[in-house]
Amino acid sequence: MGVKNNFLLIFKYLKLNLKKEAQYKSSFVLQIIMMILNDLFFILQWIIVFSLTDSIGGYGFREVLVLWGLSAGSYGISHLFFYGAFNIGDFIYNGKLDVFLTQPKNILINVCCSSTSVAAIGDIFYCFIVFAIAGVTWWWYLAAIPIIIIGGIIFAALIVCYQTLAFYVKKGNAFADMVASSITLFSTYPPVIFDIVSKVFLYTIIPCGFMVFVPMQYIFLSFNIWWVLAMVGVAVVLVVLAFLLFKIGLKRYASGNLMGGRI
Amino acid sequence: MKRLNKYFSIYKTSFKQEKDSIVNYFFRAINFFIIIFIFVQLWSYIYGENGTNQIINNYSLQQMIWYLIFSEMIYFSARTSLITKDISNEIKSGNLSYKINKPYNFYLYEICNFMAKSCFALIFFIPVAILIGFIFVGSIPNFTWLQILPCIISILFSVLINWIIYASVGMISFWTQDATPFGWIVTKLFMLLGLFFPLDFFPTWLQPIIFYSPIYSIFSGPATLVADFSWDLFASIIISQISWSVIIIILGLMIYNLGKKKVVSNGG
Repeated sequence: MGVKNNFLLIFKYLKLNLKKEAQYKSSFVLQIIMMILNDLFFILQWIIVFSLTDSIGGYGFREVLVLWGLSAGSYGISHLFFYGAFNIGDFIYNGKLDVFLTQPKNILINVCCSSTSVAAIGDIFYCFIVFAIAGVTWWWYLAAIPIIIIGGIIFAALIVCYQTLAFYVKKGNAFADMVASSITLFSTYPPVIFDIVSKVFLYTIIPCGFMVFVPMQYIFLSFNIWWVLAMVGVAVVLVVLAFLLFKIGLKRYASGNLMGGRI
Repeated sequence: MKRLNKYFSIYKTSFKQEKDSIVNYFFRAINFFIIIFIFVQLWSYIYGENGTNQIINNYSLQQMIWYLIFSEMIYFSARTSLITKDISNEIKSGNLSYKINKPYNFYLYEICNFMAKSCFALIFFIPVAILIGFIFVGSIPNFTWLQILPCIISILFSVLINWIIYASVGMISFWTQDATPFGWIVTKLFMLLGLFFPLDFFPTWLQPIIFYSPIYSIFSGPATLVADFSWDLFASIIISQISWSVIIIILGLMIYNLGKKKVVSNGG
């Protein structure tokens, strides 16, 4: 029951956040369209790269497009539903968590869902646009939906874990920002270019391997149920870890006596 | 000269403020390292498939990596998305009305403010870039100490052109409420046509278009200068950079003067 209520709450927050953002109508639409165009530019980058070589370790132009789609989709989901997660460090540093502490619902969900990025809608659209450009079969579109949702959850949960550093270190969120940027960078290149040491990093400290590389390799290019289960398992573990680390960190939070309210 | 003193003061203040962000610079340096690491892996793979001593489009692997290090370093030092976002927010929130009645030009104020941040960033990132380059591919082929000063001058101009372009893009907010998305597109255009690839990697019909565009003055020119220096190249790049600086500042001021007429202030 609690889980169901929290899911409903997440969607309710999204609805309210989108209504708030839609106040600036032209800006709302512009952000979505421009984000799609922005992402499309990277296709040209890969056209130039693949004019120099036919494939990169078995990854051709089509495979790279799908990789990009999954990465953008996961990024989009995390930023659309849980944009607040990326600002937890700022909330802590500026004493802005007080507003959330007095509310009856789960604090972390409240914080993570407190804002949204409209441009992230463009990223989600882009995921399916590149699938269309790559000319994938119909079930890839359907499979992409749960994959990018799980990927988005992995992304957001991981960022929460790193953002909680701000409870202990001044501006500790700078490390979380660096991790967020690294995830985006690593997940858009074919995994074959990375050596074994890098791959260990990509499946542990910055687990974008589970977010993008695993579904690409073990759902789309071949099928391995154990890797798929591992991906879901990593998502669950990271979510539990995020709640745990936030709860422990919150005990160290000192109120900034900042007057504020959420409208 | 007195009129310029206030802008120099803005520059000095902003430069001093930037010192407080030194911790962030270390994290950005790690990020910079990661990006270069990915590029090295990618290009080593591409060059590796054809033999590591291969020359692709007149570039050896070593030159390619040095090109990427310096073009990325310019991108990291400029952080141009900040100015578009800042100007957009000032216009969108209405804060601009507090600034346009001050005894300075808002467009020039923003450029001085952000240029100071970039100059501080360059002091930090140039040594970091050189260190990273040495770690990954060793020294720059045929580079001598005499070439340092012209390269730095060219990099400074590239950062300046970056800021004046993005400040002008930010002014679009006078008409569209938010110019940040336009900033994304400009960034991607610059990345694609300058940051990721040297001029020689593009189709021959596209090369003159890039060469005569500001993109060459911002990325391709200075980064090529570092990777494959020649005095003739320096002369052509600096002429192009000075010309573009003048043209874009004039354009930016025109856009600002047109846009500020649309501001409606209601006292209070």
